[in-house]
Amino acid sequence: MTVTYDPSHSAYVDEADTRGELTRVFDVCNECRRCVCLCSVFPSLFDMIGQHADQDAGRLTPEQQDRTVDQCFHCKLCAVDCPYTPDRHALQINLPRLILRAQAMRFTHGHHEASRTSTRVLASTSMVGAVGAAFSSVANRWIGAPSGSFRRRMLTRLTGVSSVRRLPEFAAQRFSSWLRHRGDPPVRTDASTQRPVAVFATCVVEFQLPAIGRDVVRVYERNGIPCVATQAGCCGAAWLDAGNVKTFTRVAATNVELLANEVRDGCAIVVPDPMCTHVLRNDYPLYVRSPDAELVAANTFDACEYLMTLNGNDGEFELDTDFVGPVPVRVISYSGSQLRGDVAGERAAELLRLTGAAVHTAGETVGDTGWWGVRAGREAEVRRIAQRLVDSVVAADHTGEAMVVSNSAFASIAVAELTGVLPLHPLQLLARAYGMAEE
Amino acid sequence: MPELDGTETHANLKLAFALASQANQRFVWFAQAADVEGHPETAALFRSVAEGEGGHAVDHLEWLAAVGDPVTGTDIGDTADNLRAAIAGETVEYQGLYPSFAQTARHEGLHEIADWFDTLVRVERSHVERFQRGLDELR
Repeated sequence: MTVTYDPSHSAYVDEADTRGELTRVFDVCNECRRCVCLCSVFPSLFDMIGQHADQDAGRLTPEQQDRTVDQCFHCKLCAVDCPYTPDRHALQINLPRLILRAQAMRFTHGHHEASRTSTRVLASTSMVGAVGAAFSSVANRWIGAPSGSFRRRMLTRLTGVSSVRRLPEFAAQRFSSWLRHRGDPPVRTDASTQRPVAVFATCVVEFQLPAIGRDVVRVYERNGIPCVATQAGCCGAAWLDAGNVKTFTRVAATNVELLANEVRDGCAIVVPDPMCTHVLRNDYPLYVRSPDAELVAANTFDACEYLMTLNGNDGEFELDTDFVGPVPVRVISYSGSQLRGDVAGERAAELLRLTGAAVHTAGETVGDTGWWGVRAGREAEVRRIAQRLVDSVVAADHTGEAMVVSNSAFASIAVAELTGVLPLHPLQLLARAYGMAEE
Repeated sequence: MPELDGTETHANLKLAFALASQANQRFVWFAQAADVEGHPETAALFRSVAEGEGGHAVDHLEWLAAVGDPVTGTDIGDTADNLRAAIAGETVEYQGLYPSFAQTARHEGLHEIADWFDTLVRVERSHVERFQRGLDELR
């Protein structure tokens, strides 16, 4: 087998080679078991290997390997503490990237559901979002129909979206439309003008939760940072996760061209969600392989991370700390798992501490189920992971009165399904703290 | 040199071996936390010192080997003895320690930790089987 995470490698989608590599890595995972609590991938894998007296992962069938791979929701947590990653150990294990390789192999050889129409629809988030937002009153009668209802079940047949999960409705006005049509941005003139940013809103913020994007812009403008809407579309993560490397690379290349132009025009790229930040910073350079992809990656930041990066930078920028609005006494912050491996730190928590709130973090071992969790048949796992997050928050908040925030829209949606309360994005809390009412 | 067995120094070496082994792993864990928090230089520092502590542990074991395995008390040194010591140690873990730990954790309501101990029972048993096969092939 070949140890490679390079999609251009000749053995990348070779079935025998990839399955051999899965065997090698699954053997190591079975011995280590450090990740057993993270998700269902590992307990399921260990049970299947444990059926054999010699505990040899080579005895797994291709179907069992595929079942393991299908349970991965691409949270990237198993790479964060893995003792065997390429930078730490000669075994050179990067399980999240191996899962993507396995998905690509399966798609190439037709072993994967990605050929089905529903997966294509689910991955075409820009198109689906645009149609949903354009016809929001009609679309919302379907997406907002009661769980398990006829309409939701029909929607599942067409799109693969869960008929049970309570998903946010389409907004009447898209985020980018709001940003483009709001006239001259009210950038504070008493704040030194900073490098402008192109806001890569992400599909959920663009089409369903634009209030997050609006508060990102208002907080940035409050701090002298002009904002424009990016011309780029969906990051393409759903194509990548489904193994359709060709379509993902095409989407990524288109976005790289647009984003690189925005960087050359002087913008930094800020993203209010960790999943898409990770894709732009880590996947685009690997799949598009161009100087422009490297340029985009080097200039892409999580929306909280960017403010803290500026705040610590030689004193040229100081975050406005005139918080005249409500500031919670205690805050619990969950940062989406995809950023943990980016060594970005808990920048959201650091940012919120500037308000004077006592900020604690939670859910460090809880993965973000992202787009994977939207699909039908995965509701139980999403609920189990969300409950772990809620339990982690409860454990971190002894008072029971803390405000919960998260930079992951998908995590917030899953928590809201359990608790009835949608956590704010950290920059929404900041906007309220500035005294800005929700628009 | 006088005999080491039964001396206070022997006990001290066993403690030193345990402490250095733990320091090695503690610093690896600290390094990972530093990585996540965005302190790569501190992570590198922890990793570098972890390597050193690992070296200390091995050196302590060099002295202890003359008396026996500090964990099982059995002879160690040549590969056959080392395999037997490994089998003995892993057997204690999967037959005694981890099942007992799992039971206690469950009794205390710490179910996730109980599950963790339970999963290790199976792994350690497989280690015994693999070491036993290694010993059989060596003979």
